[in-house]
Amino acid sequence: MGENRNRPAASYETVIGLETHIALKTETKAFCSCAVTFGAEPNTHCCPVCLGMPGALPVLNEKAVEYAAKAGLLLHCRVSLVSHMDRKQYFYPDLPKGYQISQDDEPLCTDGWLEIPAAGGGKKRVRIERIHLEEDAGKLIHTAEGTLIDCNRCGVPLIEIVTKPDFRSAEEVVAYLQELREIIRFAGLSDCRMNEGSLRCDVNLSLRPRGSEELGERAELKNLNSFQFAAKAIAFEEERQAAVLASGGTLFPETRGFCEETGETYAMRRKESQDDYRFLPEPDLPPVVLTQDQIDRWRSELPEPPAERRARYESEYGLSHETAALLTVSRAAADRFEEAAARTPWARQLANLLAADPERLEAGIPVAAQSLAELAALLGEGSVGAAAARRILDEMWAHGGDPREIAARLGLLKLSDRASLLPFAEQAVAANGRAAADFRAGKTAALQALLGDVMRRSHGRADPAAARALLLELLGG
Amino acid sequence: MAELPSALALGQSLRNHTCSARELTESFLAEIDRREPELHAFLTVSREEALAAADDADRRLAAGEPLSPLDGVPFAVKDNLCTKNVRTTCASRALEHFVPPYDATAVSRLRAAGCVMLGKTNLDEFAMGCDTGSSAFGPTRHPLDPARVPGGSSGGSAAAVASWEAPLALGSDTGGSVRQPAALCGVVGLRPTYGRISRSGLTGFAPSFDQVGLLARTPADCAALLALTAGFDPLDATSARRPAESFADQLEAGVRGLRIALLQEGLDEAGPAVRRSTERAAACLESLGARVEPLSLPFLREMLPAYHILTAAEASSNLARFDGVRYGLRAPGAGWRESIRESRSAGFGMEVKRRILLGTFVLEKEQRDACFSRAQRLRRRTAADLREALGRFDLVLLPTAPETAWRWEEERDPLALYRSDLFTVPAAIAGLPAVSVPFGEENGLPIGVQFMGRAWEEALLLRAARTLLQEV
Amino acid sequence: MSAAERQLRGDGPQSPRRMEETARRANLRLNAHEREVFRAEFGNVLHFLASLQETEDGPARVLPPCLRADEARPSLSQEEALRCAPAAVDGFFALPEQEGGEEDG
Repeated sequence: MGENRNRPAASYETVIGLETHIALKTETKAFCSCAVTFGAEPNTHCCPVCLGMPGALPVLNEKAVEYAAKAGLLLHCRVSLVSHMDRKQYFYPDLPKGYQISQDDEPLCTDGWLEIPAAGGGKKRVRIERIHLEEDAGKLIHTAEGTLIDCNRCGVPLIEIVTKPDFRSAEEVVAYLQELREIIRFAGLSDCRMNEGSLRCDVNLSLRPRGSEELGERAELKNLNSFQFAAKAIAFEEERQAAVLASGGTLFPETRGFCEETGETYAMRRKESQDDYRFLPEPDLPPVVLTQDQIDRWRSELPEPPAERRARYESEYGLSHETAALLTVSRAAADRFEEAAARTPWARQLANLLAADPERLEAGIPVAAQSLAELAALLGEGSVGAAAARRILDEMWAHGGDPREIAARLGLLKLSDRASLLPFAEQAVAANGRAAADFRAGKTAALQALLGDVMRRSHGRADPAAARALLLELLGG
Repeated sequence: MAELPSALALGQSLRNHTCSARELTESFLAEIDRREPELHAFLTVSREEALAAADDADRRLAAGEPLSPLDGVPFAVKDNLCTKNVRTTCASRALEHFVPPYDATAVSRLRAAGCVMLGKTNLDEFAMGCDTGSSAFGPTRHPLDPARVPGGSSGGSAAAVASWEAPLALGSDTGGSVRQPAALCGVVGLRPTYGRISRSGLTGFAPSFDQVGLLARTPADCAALLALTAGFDPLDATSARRPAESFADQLEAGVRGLRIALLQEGLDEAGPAVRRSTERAAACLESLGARVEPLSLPFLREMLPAYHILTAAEASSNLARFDGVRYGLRAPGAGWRESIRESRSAGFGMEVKRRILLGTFVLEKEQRDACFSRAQRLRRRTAADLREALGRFDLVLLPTAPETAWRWEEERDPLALYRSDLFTVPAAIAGLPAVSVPFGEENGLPIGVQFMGRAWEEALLLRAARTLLQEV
Repeated sequence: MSAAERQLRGDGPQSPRRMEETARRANLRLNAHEREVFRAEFGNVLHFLASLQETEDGPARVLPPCLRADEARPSLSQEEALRCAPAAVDGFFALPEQEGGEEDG
């Protein structure tokens, strides 16, 4: 793609609204007690309710309501004390009941916002129109012989977050998605993994003359499997629509998919002016009723937003931006870090140590705060080196234990006593006659080579300062 | 009708060891064999399972540990209630070979009480109808006259109890489907308060109207069935949390001092024989010390269009799951879209299609306000008006059906059939309990009169029913 | 008469196009006999329904709220889930090949 480089002329602006579906991290499905899983054998987590068998009735999962309300609170929404579920009716093989239980005219949350970094610096508020609770459909696999259906995913609780058309660029969309993912994950409401389908995004994009208040005909872009592909799809679609308008053509409302190989969007189907889902208030479910006390309690359970926490780590503990970001990958990791940091003056060293293996932080830190604090002290005081500290941490991570005891058992404590160091120093001097001679001849830098050798011979355990002093003594310096 | 033992009496005789549960079940199975060729009340007779359950009951009875007063007593189940490992068809080709992996809660509670399930009874397809004539597997015939309808949609259950193929039966009532066949066949039929009995496992027709209904020979049997099946079910979010009660405590208390409304529209719209029976019932109750007053509720007629629109809308939605994909009839098609369309078209009969079309139509954007939303408002208002009018009374007395069992070959005008729901729809619209009790006859055909009551007052309804039955 | 009522009386499902659309939405294929019968009836039924009076609203009968604890219970086994399936392949429900390249849901 490239022949038709029609970036929207300065006279046009791109207007984008997002609909994001997030799978909630509950134990069970929205309307039945089947476990929520990922990657299980097909149709092994289903029951009469989520299979749509006759007479099987939905019963709403209280955790799904809690998580949906918490998402609303995180996004500064008004959470309705009374809302109800509706049937959204359409036929599709992945929809066992022939309708999806969702919310139409009384969603759980309305009128929120999320701040994202703005293009020219500063911040921009994206308005959240609504958040509602609904259930997921199953998975379809298209093969040459036919379509296969796995109903494990049927009934998984989702929230759908709909923004107003406040975005003006792909960059803003990506910034929003990153911010959204981070705060939802940090609060433990969802894993938000696009590659696992727990975060899905549909983009509604249209162009309009700059200065106009009206919206143009929009395309809905689906099948966007990563933030980068979403950005690419937006870029392509902006150009495509601009080209149509530039050539005097008309755009019509449609749904378009995205092809990852070519980076192009393609037509899927025309949208009827508004698909008729024949909404029916769900007769099998009573209204969802919350109390203000519940909402206040849930609000108090929400974590400090990760961005604020990162800022605090940078100023309080002197952490770098990157390290702070790695520690705030999950609330559990950040909480444990802070617990430990409160007990030691070596918080920065601890942070860097933890950040050295960032992948495992997402599940939290299974090491007691006190143990972490002691390990930080060993490192900070120089009793162990960085590599040794990592080994000790790995050992505690897997098997628990006391850091000092582990260091001693594994022989990781730094050697700083003369008796331990002398053999290494003598060997180093003996084996590096050239360097020794250079040093005695006044090339002070040659000491480094000897020191390096001592470190090697001692497997990194020699205390550098003590080793240096000993070498100087031996060299007669 | 000759006096036959009640289900409770059978239970007692089992505990007295007058006969064994096996003998009892075998005798009902034999009666089924004898009568079924003509009656066709059953779609499935679960002979082996019944005998096994009877043997289990015998073990308990021998040990002197019955699970309930009905332990070892047989019952029949309308075939729109799911029964584990026993075919459940809803009288439709769409589910002709469907075998559910679960029991409806009402069924499992009766099994847990030791009751013995004999089999599944015939109904109008998906419970849509009032004569059991739309069953895909052939109609059920009236126990007293095979040329006549048994009523519907629970015609099989009513006929089975009336002909003593089974002493007890479960049915379902959406707008009269338990009470009307009970009246036509001459048995007691109870529709409980909405939420009283769990709907889990009852194939949904119109969920905000559907209730499991009970059919038996006596009000005391109904009370016993209700005590065993009622109560909150975590599988049904619309089931009510109510304190347990026996429903039989006041059965013998008579009607002295009760304020009973005699519904004028009930008399006006009924055929002459039914009207006479209802008036006689009123006079009878008065002579026993009740205060009977006339009551006119002109808004009653408005309930009918609201009922038909709302039930069609809910039904069109509830039947969308029958697509031949995960279970049920699958017809071939060039692709999945066509296969689903063909499966549904081949699986559903005309009455079902009729309701689905109407229900789909009234929910479409263009009609929604004029039809569906208006019907919802109408329902809310008339239900509130009804509850308010009942406030001055303990019970309302009215006919169950405007006429007795008609002949199969009579041409039935759809609108006349529609208006015949007038007496049974109000309880369903407002979620109130109602019971039909046999009282009088016309040319040997039973007539049923109906008591409608306030929410949760089934015990009072059954008490009035008991009193009236004693006078027959 | 309101626009909606005019709509009901004038262009109800008795008009062939509308009824076909409604049948398509309901995923039903009507045969010639059914179409004929329904068309004749619907006209009458809709006239009757159009006589639905506008009315003021009444209080809703509200059911008490009912939620479920987030605790897993055993699901059906794969075998049980597929037992009544008209077609199954490798643990999946199987359908004939789709037409038209519909996207994943």
